[in-house]
Amino acid sequence: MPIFQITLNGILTGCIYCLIAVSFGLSYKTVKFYNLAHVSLILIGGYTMLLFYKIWSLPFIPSLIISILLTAVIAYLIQKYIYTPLRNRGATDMAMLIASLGINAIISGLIAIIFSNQFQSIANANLPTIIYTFFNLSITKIQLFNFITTTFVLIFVFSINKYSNLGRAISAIGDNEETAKIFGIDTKKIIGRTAFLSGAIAGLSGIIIGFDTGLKPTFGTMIVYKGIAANIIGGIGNLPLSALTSIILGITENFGTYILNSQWRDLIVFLLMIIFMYCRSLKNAR
Amino acid sequence: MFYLTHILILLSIYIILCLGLNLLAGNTGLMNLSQAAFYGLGSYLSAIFLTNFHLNFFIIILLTIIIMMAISWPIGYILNRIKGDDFALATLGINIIMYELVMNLTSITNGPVGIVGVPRPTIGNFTLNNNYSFLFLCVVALVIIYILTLIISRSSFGRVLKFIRDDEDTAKSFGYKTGQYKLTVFIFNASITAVAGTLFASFARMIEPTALYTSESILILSAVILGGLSNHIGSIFGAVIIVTLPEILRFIGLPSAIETQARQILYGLMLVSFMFYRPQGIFGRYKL
Repeated sequence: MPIFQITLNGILTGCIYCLIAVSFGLSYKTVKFYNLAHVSLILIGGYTMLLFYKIWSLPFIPSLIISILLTAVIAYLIQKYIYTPLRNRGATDMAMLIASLGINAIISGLIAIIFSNQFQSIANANLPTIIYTFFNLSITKIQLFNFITTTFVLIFVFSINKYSNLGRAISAIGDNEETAKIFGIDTKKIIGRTAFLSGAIAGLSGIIIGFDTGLKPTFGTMIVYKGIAANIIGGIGNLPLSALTSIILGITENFGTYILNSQWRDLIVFLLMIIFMYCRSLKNAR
Repeated sequence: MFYLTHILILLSIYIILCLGLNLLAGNTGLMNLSQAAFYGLGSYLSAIFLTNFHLNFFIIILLTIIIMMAISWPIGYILNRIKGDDFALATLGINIIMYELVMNLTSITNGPVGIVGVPRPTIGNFTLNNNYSFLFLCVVALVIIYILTLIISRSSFGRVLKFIRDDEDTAKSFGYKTGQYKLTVFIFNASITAVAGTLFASFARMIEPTALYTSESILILSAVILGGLSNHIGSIFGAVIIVTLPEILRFIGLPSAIETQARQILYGLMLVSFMFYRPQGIFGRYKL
């Protein structure tokens, strides 16, 4: 029965969107603009893993940790040295968006110069893909890894969001930054930490993308836009709902490709995004 | 000299695009990230007309403009309700949708191959095979569009657009139907891109889906922002930057392998530093 397989594939596609949507949503909650530099963070994660694991052939776990940490540190530095000073100069959300586009152009350009513009996969092409089969459903090893890590990350992020002081502070800043400051929350510190966390998740998703489909300096863009689309459909900054919509989006996309054709998958997602944006504006107008 | 005319033709096409986008982004405050999609769609339409029908060139331009208006109407109607940053993201989505459509409707657009062998325009008995005569055509189109955009931005209509940019809710409470104004300027921009697209398709004699890349849209918007929002001279200057910068890089002697990337990095650096030190662009009056 292909329906179950398609649903499973959809969930697995959705898992990647889910990671991106969560990291993007975390970042949005504190800085409150569309940080499109996320595209380049994902590229950084994937390409550092490529460098450590495939080119320098370090063991798997250390290279995973180093590349995630590196992405997180870069995200933190971007926040500290570019976004926060820009905000202090009174930049509007639109100016921040444009600046993040600029950062994205710089980083992806640098990556293309260092690693070439070619399509590269972190997975070793010589080794056969390991496929597990149960109940007639097949899943590759990397997809299983993807599923498990996504589950862990979601549990981690949601528990931080709900039960820790950091999560409460993030919600407070998300509500109103000035008031949060008045109540003694060190907003700069919290925003920096959130950038670190969201950078780490973005790096992880970049690594999974690199194993699963492969990396290309211009390639990450589409997947990230889809993650952002999932976030918008679910409601910006609403992490559980945007995680759920990413999964639904993945399933819809896979069924859409099954019914129509694989070439329409991007179109379906962005059509959905615009329809949702329109419907939400209708609701707001009322 | 041939090289120079080539650059000048491209430059005038980009100036047309930037002037159109300036009306939308600079005067009305709608950050449109789908300019390249409309431009590419216009190019495709005119390429189809030019290769299939042997009509007068001006009739083809008019036909392309009318169809682009018809296409942009429903899009503008939907986008009208979406505000601020969401508008930028929604137009990005529109750009991707249009790219996918052009890529996948292979029976009309030839898919990734694109349409080749678009004839040069014929006016009367005179075919503009020569680049000099084509440049003349481009400059005429540019001057007409420059004057039109100048008239629009200085008219009472343009003042309402600026009002909408500064404060849409107040403009509404003054009784202006802001939705209609925004829709009108959106459609007008689409017709300007149709002209630019027709010129490009018949100049390059081919059109590929790469013209509809989102990066191209970002490039055009950044040109308008760098040059200065809500200023015609600024838009022209921005177009000059994006057209001449790759040529300057080539002139310096950068290896061609990293030329595109170097250009991309330079644009990125310019965008970030402008947001820091001069958010209104070089000649701009309106701070982003």
